[in-house]
Amino acid sequence: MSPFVLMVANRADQATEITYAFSQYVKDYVLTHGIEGSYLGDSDATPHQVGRGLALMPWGFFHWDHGDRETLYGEWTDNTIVAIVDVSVAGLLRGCIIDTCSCLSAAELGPEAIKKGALAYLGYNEITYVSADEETKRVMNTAKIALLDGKTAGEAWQLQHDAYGEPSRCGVARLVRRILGQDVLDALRSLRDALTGRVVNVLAQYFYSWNQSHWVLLGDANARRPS
Amino acid sequence: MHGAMLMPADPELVAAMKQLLVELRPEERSQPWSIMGLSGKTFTLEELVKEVEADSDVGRAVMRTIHFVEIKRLMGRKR
Repeated sequence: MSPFVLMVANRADQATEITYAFSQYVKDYVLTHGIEGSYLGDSDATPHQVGRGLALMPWGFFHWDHGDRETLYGEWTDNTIVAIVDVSVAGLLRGCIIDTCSCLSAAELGPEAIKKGALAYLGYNEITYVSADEETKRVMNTAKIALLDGKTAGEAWQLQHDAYGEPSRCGVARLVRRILGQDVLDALRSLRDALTGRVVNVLAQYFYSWNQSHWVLLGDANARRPS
Repeated sequence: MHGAMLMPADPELVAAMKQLLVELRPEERSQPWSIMGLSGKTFTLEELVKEVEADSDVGRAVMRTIHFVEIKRLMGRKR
């Protein structure tokens, strides 16, 4: 295993414009924290370049892109979306901790990658909702940042799972939930909204809850970045 | 890039979503969202509600999401 993380993000349509911006946040974190990493963004996210990067056996494979049950996608240089890893070559991910915001890939590619030697797979087993706001970017990059900070795959998964339930940085809300539980927090929030006339964006909350429910960890929960 | 299960539109829910849109702040209404795996496009909340009303694949995915989260929430309360 090599001491670097391979980051792949395409930029081929409106949806991946959003996730491309997500990837910049993590790329900047890698650069500013002196972490060894290789970034393949936009027209560099080709099957050829990704294959070459994976052949160097990175400890981490971070992906911001489309996916389906069996496949993670990148792009050709002409913006065409193309498979970069699928179940037929899942062994390319051997030795990696994979974290992807792509839809569905944890359904079949994830288990196959684990079977073929990937250490851990953090991803979604359903469609995923993404939005261009700063909060969503922070929440959906939580596990990647945690892995870069040396947390285990299990800890990283848990942190992102919890981040979905806290669409704000409110420390009091976190405390109330930890001590008194989610139901009490929900009741207090309802009371606050009734008193202040605040209208809750329940649609956004549905999307967050959906993502949270389908965010899964496969493989070794104790896997972590080599020190 | 599909393979997602979908659910047809419910007129009562569409009406409730339209009411919600009226009450939300303009920046929330116009915030772009995308559903990875269904479409490469982005949709504002207003456009997503139109997709639900049109009973498109994107709208059906939103319908399934709402039903799933509500059922899960009710099951959680029951426990």
